[in-house]
Amino acid sequence: MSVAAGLLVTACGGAAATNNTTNAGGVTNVVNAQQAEVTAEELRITLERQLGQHALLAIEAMRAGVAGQEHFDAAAGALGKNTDDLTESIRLVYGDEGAEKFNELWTNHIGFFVDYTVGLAEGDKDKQQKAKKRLDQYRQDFGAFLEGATEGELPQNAVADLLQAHVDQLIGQVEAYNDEDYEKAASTTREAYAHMFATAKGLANAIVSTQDGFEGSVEGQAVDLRSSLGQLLGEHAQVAMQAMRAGVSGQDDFEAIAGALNENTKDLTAAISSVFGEEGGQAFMKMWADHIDFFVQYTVGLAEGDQQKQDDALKRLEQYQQDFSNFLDTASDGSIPADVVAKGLQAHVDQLTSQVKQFNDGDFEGAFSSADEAYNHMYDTAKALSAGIVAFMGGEMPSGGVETGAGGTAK
Amino acid sequence: MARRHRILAPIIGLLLLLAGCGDDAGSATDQRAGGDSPAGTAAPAGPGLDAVKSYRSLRTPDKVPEPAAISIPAIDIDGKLTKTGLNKDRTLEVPEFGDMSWFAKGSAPGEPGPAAILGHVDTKSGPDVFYRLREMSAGDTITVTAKGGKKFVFVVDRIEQHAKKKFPTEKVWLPTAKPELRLITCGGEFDRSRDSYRDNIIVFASLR
Repeated sequence: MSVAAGLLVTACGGAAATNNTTNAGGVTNVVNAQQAEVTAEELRITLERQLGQHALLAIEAMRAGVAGQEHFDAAAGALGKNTDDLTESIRLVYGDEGAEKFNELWTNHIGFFVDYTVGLAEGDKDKQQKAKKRLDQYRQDFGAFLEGATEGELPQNAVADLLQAHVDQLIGQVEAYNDEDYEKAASTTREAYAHMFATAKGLANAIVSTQDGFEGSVEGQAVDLRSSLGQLLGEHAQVAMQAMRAGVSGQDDFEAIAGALNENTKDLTAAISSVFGEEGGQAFMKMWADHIDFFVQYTVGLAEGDQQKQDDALKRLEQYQQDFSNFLDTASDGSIPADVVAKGLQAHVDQLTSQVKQFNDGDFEGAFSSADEAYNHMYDTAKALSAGIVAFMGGEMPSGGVETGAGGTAK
Repeated sequence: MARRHRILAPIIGLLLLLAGCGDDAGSATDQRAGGDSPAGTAAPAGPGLDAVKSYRSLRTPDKVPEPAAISIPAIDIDGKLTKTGLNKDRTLEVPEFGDMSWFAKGSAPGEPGPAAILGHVDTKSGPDVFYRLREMSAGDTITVTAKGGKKFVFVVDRIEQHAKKKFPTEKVWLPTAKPELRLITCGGEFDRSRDSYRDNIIVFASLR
């Protein structure tokens, strides 16, 4: 079960007693007795995962749209499912009224991005300007919605500023893509995705500080680690899938996407090096790079209709699962068990190969459904990995305080 | 231009759906009916496949050089760094009086993870290098210069004081995916029976 599913089942299951209050913003806050089982950490991670996915899917849809690619409908459908998921998360906190208002505003802003994309595709400057104006109004409206919902914890202007960055990033990447500046489009995509994590953290903090029932804290070293790993692993899955799709269909942006994948690999390696040292980080990077190359080999086999090449790549990925699982198990002194890692990797391999095969077969809806599973799966992986790292680090960190004074200035 | 025109029908379909006209408009897919790209066939592998075939994932990590010097304008610190490690009991080795040291068993400043720099608050006779650490506040900057000259600027997030007996080990040392810095010295009351300050002062900073 995904984190979100767990969160929602925990929060929404059963007939819980509710205590409704209406705040100045007109949004009813639903304090659900069962909310007590939802931790602040899960709220933050869920919002990060869903908002991060929103940015990535919106970008995919805008690019498919401006380039007239066949998978546009499927990308837009996946974006719609993400909106539904986000709406359910908002419902958990603010009830039906808040969820409906959120859904309306959110759906509208996606529509404005689509308007802009149409204007860009048609070379219609007036349409682009109108879409930007509507996005400006949306920033104010959504800012007012959140200010009311969070009882002023998130001021309207601050939200509007955060949204300005989101708007600039999404418009910037689709313009770059339309201009065939694929490198800029890819790097802006990384920024847009990362931006959603800061947004989600701020939103989670505001919700937890104004609503009862969330156990624990939004911030802390362990949750920060889980969040960072979720961000990097989620990005890995999404960008790897984009690269495989671009690869199998021979698109010109493959190299730029693969470049973004390399940047993600560097960031992940650095994070792993900070746990297992430089040598451990290098060993990780070699294996990680291998598994990406095996996915690319599978993609090439698929594009060429070469079954043998696909089978060879799958065999290598099988060997990688064993090697990588054993590496993490050994490096962490058993805190990250090999059997758990291997099981997770099998799902990752199945999801990534399925989505590119479905994409190649023209089953775009199936491809985006598999991609959704693959993206969300990475957040479960991040949860397990960060827990294993925290357990492992218990025996590795320096002990106690530091003796850095001799008392010469003490009174 | 052909690719430009193909977009319009499906996008208009989506717009109609977003506007709540889904039932009347039919599905976005339907809007594409009659298009020249029937479902069931992805775009064939084009010339871009050469780039895919020659692709090899990156295998060289970014290497951040060891730190050489530190500058903290807010408290007039500007000096070289030495290196310290761990004692046998896993407590931190401390620098010589007058020195500031980088904990070399941990992350280097500028690479992901919590890098740490230590300095004494005082000697037996008077103030030492980190005497004014307690005066720092959120937003102050710390510049660490690596060997080779590359500078990493950190911004102070917060300053905390903790009893050494309750040192916040996880908060200070758990891995971080982004570059962070901790400056550590002594603070609080001086326990003459133990010849030791009771607390540590810790500055938490993040890479700008």
